[in-house]
Amino acid sequence: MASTRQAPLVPDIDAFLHELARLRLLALLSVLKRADFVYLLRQSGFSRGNLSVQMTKLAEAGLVAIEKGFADNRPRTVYALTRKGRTALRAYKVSMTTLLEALPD
Amino acid sequence: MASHVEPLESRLFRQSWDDGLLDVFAGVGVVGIGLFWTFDLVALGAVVPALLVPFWNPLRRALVLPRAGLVEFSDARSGHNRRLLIGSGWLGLFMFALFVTSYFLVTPDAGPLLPLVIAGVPAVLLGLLAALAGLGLGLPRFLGYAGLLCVCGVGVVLADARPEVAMIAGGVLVLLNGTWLLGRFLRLEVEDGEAN
Repeated sequence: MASTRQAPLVPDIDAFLHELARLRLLALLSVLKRADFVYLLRQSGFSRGNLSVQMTKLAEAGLVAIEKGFADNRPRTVYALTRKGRTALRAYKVSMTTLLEALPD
Repeated sequence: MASHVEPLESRLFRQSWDDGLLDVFAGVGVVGIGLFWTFDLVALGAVVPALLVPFWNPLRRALVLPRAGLVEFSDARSGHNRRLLIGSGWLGLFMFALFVTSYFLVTPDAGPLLPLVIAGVPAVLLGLLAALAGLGLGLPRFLGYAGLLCVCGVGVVLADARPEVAMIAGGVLVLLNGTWLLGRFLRLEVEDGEAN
């Protein structure tokens, strides 16, 4: 007899998004249309190196779009959450909410 | 359970005005209107905001963006700001025209109250604009400025002084606070040489 597989009682949590630094950056970008590197640096409190690494990872995963350009003769990199990023963040929120609400007080 | 935590977007938006540049512009605007009034160039007071507008973007680009970075909020937020700006502009012009008309047309037979309070009205009207900005942008300190301008307006009525005294006094205090905020912002936020 074929067994029917049930949905897991504990929801799957996207480990990639669950990383604190990436989650903070995605949360910031989720409420903005776009923001540049300096803004995210100030708001996140990360080091330049950490921010750069995390943004590259998010971009490689297709969650964030990068736009490089110049403003007043200075390089400027602007980031925006992609549709895929928004969907992933929404799914993450649902999973976390489900998990946390199932916990005893 | 209802959440009482202010949404992240609102906090970020409010924070984007913490540099104090808007306060400096507001202070300069109010003082400017008061100064024109001092030299009996009342109608020219209406052009003070228009004179300040060309300086907004260059100063913001030079002082704020290299330190705070570039941020764009949602289209809904931008639309709200645009409506607020246009609404404030029209309301300001309307109130200014209304006041100038009543100021020059007021006669002793206009009743006992109007000639007494008319000197305080311009500062109170500017206070209303500050309150509108405070509510629209979510900046409590602009509600404080509104209260301050209203107090100055009442002050000139009680002291039987000219209207510009209230505007200059209130405007200078707004300007001082804005300068302090801007100075603090420039000290704390080191300019970033490059974006990435």
